[in-house]
Amino acid sequence: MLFLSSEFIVFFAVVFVLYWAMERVSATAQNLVLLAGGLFFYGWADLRFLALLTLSAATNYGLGLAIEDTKSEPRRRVWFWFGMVFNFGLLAYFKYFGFFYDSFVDLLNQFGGHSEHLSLKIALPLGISFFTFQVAGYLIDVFNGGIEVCRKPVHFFTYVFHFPKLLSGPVERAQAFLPRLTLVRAFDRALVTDGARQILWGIFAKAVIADNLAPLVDRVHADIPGSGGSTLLLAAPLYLIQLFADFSGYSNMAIGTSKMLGIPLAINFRGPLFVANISEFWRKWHISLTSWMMDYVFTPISFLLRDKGRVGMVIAIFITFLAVGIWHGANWTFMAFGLVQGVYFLPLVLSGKVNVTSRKDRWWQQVPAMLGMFVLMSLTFVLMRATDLSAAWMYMQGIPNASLFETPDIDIWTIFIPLFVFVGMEWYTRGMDHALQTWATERHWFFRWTSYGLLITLILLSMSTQEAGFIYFQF
Amino acid sequence: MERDLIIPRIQKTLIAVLGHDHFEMRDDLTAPDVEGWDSLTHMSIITGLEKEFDVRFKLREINKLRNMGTLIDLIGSKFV
Repeated sequence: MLFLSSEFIVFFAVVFVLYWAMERVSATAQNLVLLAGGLFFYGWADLRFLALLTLSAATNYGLGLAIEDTKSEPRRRVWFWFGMVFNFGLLAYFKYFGFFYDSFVDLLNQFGGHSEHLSLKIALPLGISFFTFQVAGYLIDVFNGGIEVCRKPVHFFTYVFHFPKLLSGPVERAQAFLPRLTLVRAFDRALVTDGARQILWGIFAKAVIADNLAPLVDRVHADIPGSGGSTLLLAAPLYLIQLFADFSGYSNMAIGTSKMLGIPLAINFRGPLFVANISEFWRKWHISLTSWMMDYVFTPISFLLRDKGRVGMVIAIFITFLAVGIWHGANWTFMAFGLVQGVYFLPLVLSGKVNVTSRKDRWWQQVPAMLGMFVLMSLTFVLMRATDLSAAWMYMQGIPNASLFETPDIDIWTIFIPLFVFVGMEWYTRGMDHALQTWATERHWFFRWTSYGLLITLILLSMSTQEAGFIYFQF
Repeated sequence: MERDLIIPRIQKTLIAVLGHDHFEMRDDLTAPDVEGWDSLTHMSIITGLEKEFDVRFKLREINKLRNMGTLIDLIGSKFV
């Protein structure tokens, strides 16, 4: 059941009505509606793995209590590490086992072996990366005393199975989410309509921008050797915009849906296309994942290595971004992507500029740096799109040659106006939670409703009859 | 060590690491209130404080920090 499907609209309408009807009953009643909705939602998407996720959630609930209530320090540690091995072991089995098995076989065969690849791909439970990081973060926080343990199973399961964020994030922190479940959520018209506007912007980004850019980009990646330099060079930024529209669109739909249920979620994007350096990019791109990695990977490692000065910082950054890369999946391209990010951080770290706050330049003084970063990240994200490392390498080699000066073979004009509107709006509202945030308070009603009408028209015109999947579902 | 003695030395360290003094040393000051104090610079600030006060923190102590008040108390507790 995708957000953009008639099934979801019916499902959400039912949950919405029931949930707000429970406002007069109790917080628990509201939580039970959310939990039942989440279980149904996941069961609909992936019935085979509903039991697995339920079992994992129950295990983590119990482990949280065990860590909190055990007095002896060594035993607390045992429970904690058991939790880490359990969660990341499950993730590794489903997400990475096939990759490591096949890579190992390749290695053996290089030395004259005759082993075969896994004949059966292991099916990936939807949302397992997002799920794992949320429950693992919870256990780490309980262990470190950063959060009070959750003793109410309904609260814990409602947190884990909250359907707006279940399949593809944001990676929501327990300490932000759980306290919201203790009190009755009162119907707040401003929050609900803000959620609806955020969903509208998300659908526009996904259905009009991402889904129309996808075939243009796909065509280039399907025939890299046959594409000229200028075509490859143009397809790179188009893919970055496609990915941004796809994933920020998804996030806006998820966050907006949750807002309509009175629960705002973590912000996931804040104008990442317009940044002046690499550290700013990662503070604005997939924020919920990066901040998780910073808190639970970078901070402990850099703490351990803090006496090593800049070398320690560099090692911590490389490990962190390698983890960011590997999080996306089992492919050498993702690992290379992570390593390249580490390399981009080197000048900042070695010059000591990480610690110096951003200059108070006017925005137009930052434009050259922003354009440079946009080109750099566009070329880097080729690694995310390419099927393997050799394809990515072929892509890069294809750019600098005589065909760079030909007219690109990409029919961008059909999508040009919506694309211009999208990028323009994202630029204009780059500091905000979403592009339509101030629409209700700062825009004349006529302008507001005309723009909603235009967006909806564009969405209806663009939506194909086929359901298009979200890129980040695969991660 | 008295809080009054600790506060100016924390302030000095923050200015040295972040390169500005656009913040007020209140107990309820948090990292997001201070420009440039993010997860990347956090560890430089922690190491800076360890040098300034000649103390060693534990990771768990750092994870429990909530605001400037708790940081001052943590440093104070090292001198009891």
